[in-house]
Amino acid sequence: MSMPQEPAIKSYFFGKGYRDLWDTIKDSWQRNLKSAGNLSSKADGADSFPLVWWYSAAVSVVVFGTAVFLIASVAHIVVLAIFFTLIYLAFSFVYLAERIFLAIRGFSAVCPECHSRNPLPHYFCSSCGEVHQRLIPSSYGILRRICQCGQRLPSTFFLKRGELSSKCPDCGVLLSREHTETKKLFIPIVGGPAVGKSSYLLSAVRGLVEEVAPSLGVEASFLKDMEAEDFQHLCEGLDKGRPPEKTQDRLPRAFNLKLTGGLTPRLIYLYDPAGEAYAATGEMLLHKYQEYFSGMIFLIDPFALPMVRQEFEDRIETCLGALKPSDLSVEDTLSRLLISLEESFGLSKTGRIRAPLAVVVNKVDAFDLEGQITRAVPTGEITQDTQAWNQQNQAIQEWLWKWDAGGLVHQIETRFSTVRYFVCSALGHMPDPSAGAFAPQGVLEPLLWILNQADGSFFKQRG
Amino acid sequence: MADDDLGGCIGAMFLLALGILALMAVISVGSLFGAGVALKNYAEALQKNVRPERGRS
Repeated sequence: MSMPQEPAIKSYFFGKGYRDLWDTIKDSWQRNLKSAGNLSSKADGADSFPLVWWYSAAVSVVVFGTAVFLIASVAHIVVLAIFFTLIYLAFSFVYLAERIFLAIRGFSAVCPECHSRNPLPHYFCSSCGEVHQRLIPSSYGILRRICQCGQRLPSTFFLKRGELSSKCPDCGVLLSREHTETKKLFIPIVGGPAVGKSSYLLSAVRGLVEEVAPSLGVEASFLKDMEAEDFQHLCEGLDKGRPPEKTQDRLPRAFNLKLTGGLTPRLIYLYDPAGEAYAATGEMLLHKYQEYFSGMIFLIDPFALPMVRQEFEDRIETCLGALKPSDLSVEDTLSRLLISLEESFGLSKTGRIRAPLAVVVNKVDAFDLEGQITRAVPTGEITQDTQAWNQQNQAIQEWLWKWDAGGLVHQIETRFSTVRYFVCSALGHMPDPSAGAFAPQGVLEPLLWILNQADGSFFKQRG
Repeated sequence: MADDDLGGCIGAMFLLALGILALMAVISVGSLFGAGVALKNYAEALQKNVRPERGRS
């Protein structure tokens, strides 16, 4: 366990104890020599008996004193070694217990700015503000350590270390306790430009806040006030039939939804990478969440499929502005995603991604597309009936084959090990202020399926 | 003559044993003295050199 130099006082038995040992041995030896010298100097000029007496005393100190000095030095070393071993074992045990506990509960530190995940943030001393890079049970202290300023700091999760201020080790942004000590679920919503990711994200988050959280008996809140304000503003827009504004940020725009209440606190990162970023593979490298996503929602705009576009050519022309069909082919979007995962995150060319993938055909409200796809599972119902889901999977796969997207289905089935197909309308109807509030359809099912796959206890408590 | 030799021999042996006992006593006292001085020196060295590290407060 290599440790950086920390602004804290090392355990006596891991640092100063050895300097003290050496100093004590040197000092003790010098004192013995000095004692023997003093005794022999008393013999100078003495008569025969005192002379023998003082010289014998000096010799005794040299001979027997050296033997005792050696025994005392060895005993000193043994005591230090025993304490060193006991402390090493103690802090290793506490550290391992903490790691196991955090791993079981799914806790890790994830930066909301640079999206990097680290096992441990950098903590600030609550008194002097010094940065402790590895505030863990260590040679600086088993349960607590003493900062250079003298302040005692908890060095383990079990003693509420998370109450200290902390920052991201990579970009330095300040982290809250929710970023470090909650179970996290990362769900990217992937798709090409104009596929409806922003609308889906907003409708899904709204569903979580207004439907799922109350049914779980938990409280849903946003980590940042600004997120809550954005959410409120966008929801008001949806209620007036105004779609979310087009995503412009290149980095993932995430909603950090915190669920607190009768279960282990959870942080759900639902994020919408700008569609334009998927037009260039290189830009996808920015999305570090892809290293550790819990599941992925892959949105398909059916009107990006050439055959569908051809079929509805005349009708599309009349509502092009409202429908906004995506320009990027669905196969290309998926290929770029896979290339990014292969190049940056160690996925082999033939490897399968184990995280669940929800393939969601969006915009099915348009031209009664939904009617063309037999749905075995009614919208709004979550069921454990595998047969019903298999029927839906088959129906949507057949529909995609019919529209010449069989290659996409094949690619999905060969590269992802857990796949389920869904249809939805993220807005419920095409943007039209006169049509009133949007009423999303089928948005929650893919999300809840992924949450159930990634975190079964979440779903179980829903009943 | 033989009795004189035996007596002298016993006397010499007694003196030798007495000498050895005296030497052992001196060595014992010397070892206790030397060990005591060394222990005292080590204790003083410990007292002088062993200090727990403290933060700047």
